[in-house]
Amino acid sequence: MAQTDRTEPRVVKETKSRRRDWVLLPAVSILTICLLAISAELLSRWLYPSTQIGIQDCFAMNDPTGDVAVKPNSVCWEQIPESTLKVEYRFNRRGHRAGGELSPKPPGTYRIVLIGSSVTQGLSVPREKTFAALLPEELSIETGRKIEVYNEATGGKFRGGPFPTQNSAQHFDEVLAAQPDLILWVITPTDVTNAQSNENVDSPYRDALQEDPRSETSSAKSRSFWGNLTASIAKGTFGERLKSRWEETRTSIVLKHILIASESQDEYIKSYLRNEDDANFLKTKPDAKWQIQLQYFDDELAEITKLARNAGVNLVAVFVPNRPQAAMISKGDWPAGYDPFRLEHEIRDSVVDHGGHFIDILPDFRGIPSPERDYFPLDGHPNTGGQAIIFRFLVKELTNGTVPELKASTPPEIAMQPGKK
Amino acid sequence: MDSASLQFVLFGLIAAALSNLSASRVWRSNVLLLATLTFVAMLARSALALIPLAAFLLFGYGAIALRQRGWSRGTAWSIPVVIFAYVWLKKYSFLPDQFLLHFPYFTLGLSYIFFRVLHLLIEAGENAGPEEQRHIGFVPYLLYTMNFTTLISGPIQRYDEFRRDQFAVLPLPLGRATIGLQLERLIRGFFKVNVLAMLLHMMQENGLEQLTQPVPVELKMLAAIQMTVAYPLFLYANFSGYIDIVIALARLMRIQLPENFDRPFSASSFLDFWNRWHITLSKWLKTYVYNPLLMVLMRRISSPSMEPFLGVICFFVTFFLIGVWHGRTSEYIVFGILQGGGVAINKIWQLSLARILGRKAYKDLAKNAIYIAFGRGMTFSWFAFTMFWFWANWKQIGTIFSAIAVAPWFVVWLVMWFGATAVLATWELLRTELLKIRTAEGSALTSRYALVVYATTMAMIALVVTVVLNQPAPGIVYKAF
Repeated sequence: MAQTDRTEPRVVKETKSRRRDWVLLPAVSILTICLLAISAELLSRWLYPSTQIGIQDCFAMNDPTGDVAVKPNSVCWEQIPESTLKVEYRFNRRGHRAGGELSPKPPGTYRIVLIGSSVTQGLSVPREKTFAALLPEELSIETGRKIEVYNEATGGKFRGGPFPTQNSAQHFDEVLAAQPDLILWVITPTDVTNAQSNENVDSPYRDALQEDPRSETSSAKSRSFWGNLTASIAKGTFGERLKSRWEETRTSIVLKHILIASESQDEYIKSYLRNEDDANFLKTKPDAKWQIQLQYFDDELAEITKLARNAGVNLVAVFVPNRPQAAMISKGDWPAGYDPFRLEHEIRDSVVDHGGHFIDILPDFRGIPSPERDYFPLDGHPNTGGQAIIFRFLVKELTNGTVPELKASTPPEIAMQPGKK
Repeated sequence: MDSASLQFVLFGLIAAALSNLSASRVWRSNVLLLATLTFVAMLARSALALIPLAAFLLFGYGAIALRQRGWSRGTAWSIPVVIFAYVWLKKYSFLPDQFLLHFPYFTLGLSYIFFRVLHLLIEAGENAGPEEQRHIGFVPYLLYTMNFTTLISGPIQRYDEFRRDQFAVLPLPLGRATIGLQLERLIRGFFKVNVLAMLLHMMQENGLEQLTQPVPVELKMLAAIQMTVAYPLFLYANFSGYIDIVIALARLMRIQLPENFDRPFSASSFLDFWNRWHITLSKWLKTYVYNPLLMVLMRRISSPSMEPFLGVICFFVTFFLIGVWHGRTSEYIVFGILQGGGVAINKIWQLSLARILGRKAYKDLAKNAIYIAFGRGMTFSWFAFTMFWFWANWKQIGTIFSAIAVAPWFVVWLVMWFGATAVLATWELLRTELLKIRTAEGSALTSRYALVVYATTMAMIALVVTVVLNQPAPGIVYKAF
C-alpha cells in the first residue's frame, strides 16, 4: 500500500503499572464477582422469599410410579418467589382441592365438576380466590338456582403426579362419582404440550415431552462434586448443567421476573415469539412436532368426550389462554405467521366433532388492557387477578344460553370492566 | 452483526490484536482496511447494494483530488453536488418518489461518510494551507471515510487527527495500563448499550403504553413523566455506550478518536448542552456552518449593536441543521426548529440578562449554584420534550399529546423541571464529594482498583442479561441516521 503521509507520533503519557497489580487486580475482580453473586442471591431471597412447608408430604413428588397426583387428606403451604401470598393447599380424602369433602348431591342442586390442570386447581393462588371457588355463588345468583362446583383438577406433571388430561381419562369413574350434571373441562396450551397417548410412549419426542428431572438428580446425588463435574465435561453436558444450576438460583428467577414484568406488551410479545419452540402453538402453520402433539391431545380429548357421552353427562370445554396469548389478543395485532386464536379454534372444532360443547372466552380478552399483568410473569400461571378474569368470563359464557340449565334468569351484567374482581 | 453486540466487540478486539502484531504503519493500515472491508461485507446484502455508496465515495475522491490540484474554483459545484447526492441517497421525504433509486442499497454510516467527505472537500479548497492541500491517496481516503470503528455512528474525526495516529512512523503507545483502561471502557460501553439502554427503553415503552390505557389522569401523568424522562437517558446510554466501545477499540488499534460526550446532563444551559452532546457533530457544524455564516453576515451587516443578534441567527441556523440532519421526515424539521429555537432563545436570554443586569452582575448570577441547578433542570426538561419529534411519528405525537389535556401536560413539564433540578443537583453534589476521597495517586473512585470493581460488576451484569437471560437490547439509534 502506498503511503504518502509522514507524520510524527504524539507524545502520550502512559500510566505506569506496578508488579503487584498482576496479583491485586485479578484478586479484586474475583472478590467482586464473589461479593456480587452472594449479595445478589441474598438480596433476591430477602426481597422475593419462597417458602415450602410440607410440600413433599402433600404433592406426590417422590412417587416412583408418577401415577398419584397428591396425597389424600393432606395440607401444605407454599409461597413462590413471584407471589406475596403464602398459599395453603388442602386436599380432601379424595385428593382434591375442592374446599371440602364431596357429599351426596342435595335434591334440586345443579353440580358442575371441574376437570383440568394446574390453572383449574388454582396453583399459587389461595383457594377462595380461584375461579373454582368463586363460581358457585355467582352462578347461583345469575341462574336463580342452587349451583355447586366440585373441583377435581390435578396439579400437573411437574409436581410429580400424572399428566392431568390422562389422569382424568384414566380415573373418569371418580369424575362420575361426583354425580356431575355438567363436566366443565378447562384446557390450556400446556395440556396440549403434555398430551401423551400410548403411541407417544414410543415416539421419538418422548424424552423431550416427558421431562423427568428425578432420574438426573437421583443419579447425580450418588456422585461426588468432582465426579459430577468430570462426568458432565466428558459427556459434553457441562454447559447445560451450569445453566440448570444458574436457573435454580433465586437471582436468576428474580432477574427474569423483573425483566419480563418490566416489558411493555409489545416488547413482551416480540421477545416471547423469538423463542420458536415455545411460540410454536401460536403459529398459523406450526411445525410437524406440534401437529403430532395436537393429534395426541385430540386422542385424549376424544376419549374424555366419549366417556362423558357414554355416561350421559353434558361436557363443556373451555380454552384458557396462556400469558403471551392473552397479551396478543388484548393488543389486537400480531406479526404475520401467528394467530393466537388458531389453537382454540382447532380444539373447539375437535370438541364439537366428538359431541361435546365448547364455550369461547378468548374474544373476551380483547377488552382487558394488559391481561399479561394478571399472570405470574415467569411461572406463567394466572395470579389472583387472572383467576378473577377467568371467573368473570366463565360466568358470562356459561349463562348466555350455551348450557340451557345455566341460562341467566336476567341478562348477565358481567362486565368487561377492567379491574373488577 | 449489530454495531454494539458481543460479536462486534470480539470482531474489533481481533482486528486490534492483529493490528498490534507489527508497529509498521503499512501493516496497521492493511489490517484496518481488511477489517473495514470485512465489516462492510458482513453488513451489506449484496455487492449491488454497495454500488451507490461506492459511486458517492468515488465522486467525493475525484472532487477532492481535483481541488487539491488547484482546481478549486472549477470544482466549487462539487460541494452542492455532494450535499445533493447525500440527500438523494438518503431518500429525504420531500424528494419525489419517482426520482429515487428503487432497489435496496447500503446507506449505513452514509451520514458520517458525508461529513468526512465534505470536510475533506472544504479543506482541500483554495484557502487551505499546505497541510490540507497535501495529496490524499485513495487508500488513506478509504481508511478515513470508511474506518469500521467510526463508520456506523461516528464520532466525526478530522482527517488531520486520523492521519496523525494512523500513519505515524511511531504509533501511539499502548501499554498495559492503557489496555486496561480501554477494556474497562469497552465493558462500560457494552453495559450502557446492552443493559442500561435496554432497561430505559423498557421504561419508555411502558410509559407510552400506560399513557394510552384507560387509566386515571394522575396515572397518565406519571406515565407521561416516565416516558419523557426515560427517552433522553436511553438515548444517552445507547449512543454514548456505542461511542465508548468504538473509542476503546480504536485506541487499541492506536487511533485516538475524539470524545463525543462530556456529561451532557450536567450542562447548565441549552447552549452548554450542545457543547457536551454529540460534540463532534456540533463542532463540525460550528466550523463549517456557524463560523462562515457569521462571517458573511458580519460583512454584510456592519452595525455593532446588531452583532450579538447575528450570532443568534447563526446559532438558530446551525442547530436547525443539526436537527434536520437526524432524519428524512417532517418530524425532524420540527425537531430542528426546537433545537435551533432552544439555543437561539438561550442566547437571547443571556444577552438580555447581561444587558439588564450588567455584565458583572450577570456573570455572578451565572455562577450562582441555584441558578445553575435550575438551568440544568430546564435544559434537561426542554431536551426531553423536543425528543418527541425525534423518536415518534406524527401519529404517535398526536396520541401522546391528546392522551391528557394541556393543563396536566403543563404540570408534567413543571414536575420534570423541578424534579430534574433536584435530582441533577444532588447528583452533582454527590459526585463532587465522592471525588474528594483521595489517595496518593488521585481520586480513590477513579483508581485502577475501583475501575476493576466497576468493570467486573458491569461485565457480570451484562453477561447475565445478554448471554444468560438472552435479553437483546435495542439497536444503536444513531445507526439509522
